[in-house]
Amino acid sequence: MKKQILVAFGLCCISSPAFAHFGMVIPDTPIIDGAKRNAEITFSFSHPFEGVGMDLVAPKSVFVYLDGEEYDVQDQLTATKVMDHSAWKMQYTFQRPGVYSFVMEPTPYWEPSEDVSIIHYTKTMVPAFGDDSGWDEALGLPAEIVPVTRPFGNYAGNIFQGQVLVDGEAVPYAEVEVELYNQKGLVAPSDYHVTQVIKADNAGVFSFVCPQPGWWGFAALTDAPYTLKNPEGEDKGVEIGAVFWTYMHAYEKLNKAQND
Amino acid sequence: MRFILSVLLSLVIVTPAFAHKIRVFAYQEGAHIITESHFSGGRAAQGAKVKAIVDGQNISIGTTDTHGVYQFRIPKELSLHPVNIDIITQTDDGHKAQWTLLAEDIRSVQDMPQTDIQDQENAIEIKKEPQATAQSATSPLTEHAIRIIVQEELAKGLAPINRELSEKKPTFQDILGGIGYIFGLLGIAAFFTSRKR
Repeated sequence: MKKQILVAFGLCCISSPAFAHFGMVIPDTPIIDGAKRNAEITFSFSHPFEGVGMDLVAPKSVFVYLDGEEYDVQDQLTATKVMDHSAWKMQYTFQRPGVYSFVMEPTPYWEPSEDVSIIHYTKTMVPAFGDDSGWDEALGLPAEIVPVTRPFGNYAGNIFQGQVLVDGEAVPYAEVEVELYNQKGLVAPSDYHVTQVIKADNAGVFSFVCPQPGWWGFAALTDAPYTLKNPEGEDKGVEIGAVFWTYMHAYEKLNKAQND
Repeated sequence: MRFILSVLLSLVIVTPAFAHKIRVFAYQEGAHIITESHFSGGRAAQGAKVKAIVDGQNISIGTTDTHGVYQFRIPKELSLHPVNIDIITQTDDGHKAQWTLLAEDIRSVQDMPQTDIQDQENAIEIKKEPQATAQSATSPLTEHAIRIIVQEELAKGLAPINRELSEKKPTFQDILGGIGYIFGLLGIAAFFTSRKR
């Protein structure tokens, strides 16, 4: 019975593609080099293609992972606005070469229209000072996308591949929603184009060619084996999202690059 | 375990790295500037030539060790009046990279606490300069000053650990190779012991 409800519910979701929710961890600079050694990192919860925000209450945790160590940076968050809704930001200074992973675990978000609480473990990697090691390693999050292709230094038109892990185990045939952080005001021909959907293979590995420059978000959604209480105190299902953001650069000609 | 590691290391060392891009990073640790040269992928660039340049003048020239590290003592004048230091690393086959150590990241050596025991060389050199902490001994320590000292000490203490951590870990194939070596050596040993009989 429960299964049927779930299937029916799933069909509803598929047949009316509402805008997908995305946890967002977006640095103002995708690659750190000697010329700019710090970045402002913004944490938000949004519909990134449509530019519609939701309020992000203070995240449960924010960590920076580097070379197998994790650093709690939550106390460095300050309030800000993204898409007119409350969000968080921090200034981060990169001290040494490495691939830095910024990870947000949000406080569960109750979504009445979907009758679930949503938890998006959101991860973004920022390489600093030429280091390129460790991007292919799992951090051990409850749910995460581990890059299979190097997630930085790519052009629009390159492929992004990732493996979906939940509790460290690959999720075969995981469904992954994809959205562009649409900062240029691009228009989608249909709602299907707002959130694109792909599925992983039997090893939990998915592939997507990113046709536009900018930040691309990948959200692998699974149902949690536990429930959480909604604001009315009822036990409700939990959507666990493993979200990963990667930046695709545009090719630029020399004279244009110099003008930037 | 150490043996396996050294076997692995020697495997890593003999592998040519010509196709890789080189990078260099430098930071101050106590009275020294530490430079680290690596190829992309994380492998240390050994035997690379490193130059430290201030205003077009070489202030230090040397060669990296097996960890891709070349370090030099920061000239006292420079530590008192910091300016940007350009660090250039170059391999024989022409790979080149540059890093600028910013003046604002250079701390005065005179501010260094006396107990600089991170390496013996340092400790000996510090002993030769007993005036090094005269200033901090007479001025009362504010909370801010203590905080800075603790931060610096922590950073210094963690630096070698961080460096260790950031070094490329052996891959599964490396480990298999290492095991292969061990079995090979055991085989040779077995062969000779059996011949003795």
